Amino acid sequence: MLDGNAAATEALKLARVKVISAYPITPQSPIAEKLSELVANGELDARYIRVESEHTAMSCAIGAQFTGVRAATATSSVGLALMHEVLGVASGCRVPLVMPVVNRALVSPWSLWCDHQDTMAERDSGWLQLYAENAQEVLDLIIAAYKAAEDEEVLLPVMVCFDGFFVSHSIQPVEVPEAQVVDAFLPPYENKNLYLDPRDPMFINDLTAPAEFSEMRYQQVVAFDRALEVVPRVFAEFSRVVGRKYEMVEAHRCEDAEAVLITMGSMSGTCKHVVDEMRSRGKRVGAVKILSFRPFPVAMLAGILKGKKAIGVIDRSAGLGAQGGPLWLEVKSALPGNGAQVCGYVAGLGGRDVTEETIGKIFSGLLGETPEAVKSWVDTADDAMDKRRMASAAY
Amino acid sequence: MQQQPKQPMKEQKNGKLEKRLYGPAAIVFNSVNTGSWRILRPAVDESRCVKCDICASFCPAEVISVHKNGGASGVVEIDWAYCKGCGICAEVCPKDCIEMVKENENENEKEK
Repeated sequence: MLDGNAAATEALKLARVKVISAYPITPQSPIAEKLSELVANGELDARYIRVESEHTAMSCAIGAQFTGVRAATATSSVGLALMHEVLGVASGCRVPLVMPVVNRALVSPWSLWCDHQDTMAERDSGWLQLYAENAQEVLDLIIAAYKAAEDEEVLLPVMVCFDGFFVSHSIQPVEVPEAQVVDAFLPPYENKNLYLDPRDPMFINDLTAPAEFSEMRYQQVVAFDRALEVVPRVFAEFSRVVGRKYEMVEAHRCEDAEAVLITMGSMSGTCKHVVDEMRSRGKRVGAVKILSFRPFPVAMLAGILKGKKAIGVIDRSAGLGAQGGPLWLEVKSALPGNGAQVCGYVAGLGGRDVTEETIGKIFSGLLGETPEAVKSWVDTADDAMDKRRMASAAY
Repeated sequence: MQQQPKQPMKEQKNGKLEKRLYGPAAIVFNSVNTGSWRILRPAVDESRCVKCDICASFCPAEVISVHKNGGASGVVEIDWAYCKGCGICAEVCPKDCIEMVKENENENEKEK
């Protein structure tokens, strides 16, 4: 039995990381703490660098990995935001780091709880983003992510994202593969691109003029396109070795579905459960889980949603100022002119549960069973504008 | 600004294994030579120069040497590898004997 954080720690241990530079932040802290424990008691042959911030944590990890070892760090929320600048260095310099990110809301309001805004704010940072549904997926996706990230066709860093508390602190049965199985799947790290070696010096991350900047960016775009082929190949190999099967988009009972709901992260489990329950009552509904948000598997998703007329998308982030949440925007633009109604919903912000009731309500709306349209901020209280009132002589 | 191996990955060249690198890395750092940024360069009329050394003392890159007794490179020697052509020397010259000319302009031709 492991929680999501412990599953992440096991995965980093199995990947035989040699340098760790992590800064604790709720709800990621148990990862940073457990890794330091493993190093201190000799269970993990690695150096642990005590850093003063996430900015430094990421900088150290990049530098360490350039020397030819797997380096690890993990973060959450404002910690990820503090890494923002250096995330671009990792992706631009093509350092295949794999980082567990425990999803937590960004400020303000201050919150310790689950929300996807932290990783959504980094969706254009040049990192692959995989979203795990449960603790088992956290472990499996981290191991698979290393294989995909380090592929010579890809060479991009990966965030393995999982919901704060719902996954990070939820104790679940997790099958941990034998070390030799993972060793065979994931051989020792070798630098396949840029490296730091005093015997063969190289300038890394120097000033790049307009004459070459676009080309460097284009190289990253090509790598993301290749990742669309490499990630499924890695998942197939992982399935052969470990036995568990993953896809960039998971379709659950969608074949004859009249209404399909698209989700990411832990709420996907609830959504599949609601689908099964509604199916038993004769309702033709289906669930789609987006496992890979970056790269966004457009063709695969369009195939699953072909001919579907009622499609719902739940975003666990607000998408402030945009036409809707970021996942909804992606889905909408993946389906140009197929006549489908793609309804966007925002739910589960700042740790709010995405309940069976919330999901059921959305499905009812999609099936046209509700007298009124289901509002897009589906679980927001009606008195939202009246949450704070203050009496003062000044008024 | 940077030079990357042009050969395809893992091709043998001069007995060395070369491979294509992705991202901003440089094996040869051409931009160390800041003189390559220059658009204008100072041209000194040494016949009017009084060797006061003011240009050298104001030069932010410290690339001007004034040889009071003349030298192999003339009285006012400028290290062209690092002169960025900022024009401060021309501004401060009390005798107005430094003129900023286009980098590609041939000084000898101009004199004709």
